[in-house]
This record gives sequence, structure tokens and C-alpha cells, in this order.
Amino acid sequence: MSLTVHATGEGAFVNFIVGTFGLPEAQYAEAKARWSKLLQQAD
Amino acid sequence: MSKDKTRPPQTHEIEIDAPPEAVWKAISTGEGLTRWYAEEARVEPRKGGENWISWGEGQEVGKLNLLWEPGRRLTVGDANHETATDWNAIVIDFEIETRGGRTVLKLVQSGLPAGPDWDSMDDGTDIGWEMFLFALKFYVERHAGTPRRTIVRFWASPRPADETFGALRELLGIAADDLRAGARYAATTADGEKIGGEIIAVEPGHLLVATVSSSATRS
Repeated sequence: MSLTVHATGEGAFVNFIVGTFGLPEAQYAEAKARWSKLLQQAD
Repeated sequence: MSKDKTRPPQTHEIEIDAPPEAVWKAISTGEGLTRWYAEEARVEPRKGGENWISWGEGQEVGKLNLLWEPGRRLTVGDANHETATDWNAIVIDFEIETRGGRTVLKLVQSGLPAGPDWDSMDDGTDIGWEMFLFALKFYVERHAGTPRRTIVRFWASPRPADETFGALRELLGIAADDLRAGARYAATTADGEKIGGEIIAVEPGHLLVATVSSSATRS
């Protein structure tokens, strides 16, 4: 998991990347859904 | 672009516990670049060859290998970088050295225009390269040869950077006291999922790199 935040004129900009290595498709899809749901709350 | 219209170069260095050849492969091949940097990548292995990366539709960057010294140095930029007055003026130089038996990757980004309009991009690329170099180190040292798939989200927050970072830390459930490089953490996210791992790098308010183990994934 990598997260960066930097200031902009209007607030901040966020880059959030979760890298997965060698996950089977089903586990990747599940992880993607869970992280996406969590990060929606960051808005 | 003339030097008086560009800002000073950014220089980043990272020590990697792997042979120089492994680092070269990670920075100079399309396959290698997708393990720590981009979603898709193509590199034509020669000076003047294509160097193309993408994070998805509309986020493609096509450049050239301005300098190609296998195993040692790779410089990437636009063919017209010297006359460009926008982001096409940016040149990225990777240099691999061996110091005391350790491999060191040095990255210099130059050519970014001067002036306040480019301050945010300067800050963003500065912290972004820090993050990507930790990702490169993590890949080469711990997952070399294993394909990577990512979950990526970029967004603008109306709040200041430190508040945004703090809110994300709380969302992840990581205690402020655990934000130390090398520390182990155990957390419960805002969704109630228990996660844990190792904090690899932290710059409070700006950067967090950590391993994550949960019931769903290890990343």
C-alpha cells in the first residue's frame, strides 16, 4: 500500500495504490472491491 | 527550455538489496515497469527507442530513451524536451551505482518549468518519486519476477494535505504512534476489517508506504 498526499491550490491531491503480487483472480477481485468501498469514504 | 525558466532538478536515491542487473531490468523493461510504476509499459531497448507507460485510458505517457547504457544509466524524455515549455520538458534520469557492495538507484527529474503554476506538480512528482522508488525496492527485494496487479485511486481533496493525510490514516485505522519506518502495526479499518503489516516509509502528512496483510490479500 502506497499513499501520497500533496498540497494543491484548492486543497490536496491523493494517490493511493495497493499493489498485489501473485493473487488469484478471485482474491484480487475481492480485495479490489473491499479497498474501493473503503476509499469511497475518503471523499 | 532555457535553464532560467526551469526549476532546480529533484534528486532521489534509494539503496536496494539486489544486484544492479535486477534494478536495471525493473527500470528498463515494460514488464519491469509494471511491477512498481505503471499499469502498462513498453520499452524499446535502445537509445532513441520508445518508452511508453500508461495508468489507463487518457493517462498514457509516450517518451523516448534519450540515453541508454545497459545496466548503468537510462534517461527518458520527450524528443523536443529542450524547447518544450510544459510538462514535455521534463527529463527523468536513472543511474545505477554500486557503493560498498550495495546497489543504489539515483533518479534525477529535471526540466520542470519554474513559476507558481508548476509548484503543485513539483510537490506531487517529488513525493510521487519517493513513493515509486520504495515500491521499486519492495518489488525487487521481496517479489522479483512476480506479476503485480494494482488497485489505484487518485482524487482531489478539498481539505489541506495534513488533514487529508490524517483522515486517511484514521480510515485505515493505523495509530499515529505506529507511523514509524520499520514498525509493525495492527489496525481495524473504518469498515471493520482487521489489517496489519510493516510500515516501510513515512513522511507525516505526505507519504505512507506499508505492507498490508488481511484475510483477503497480502500486498
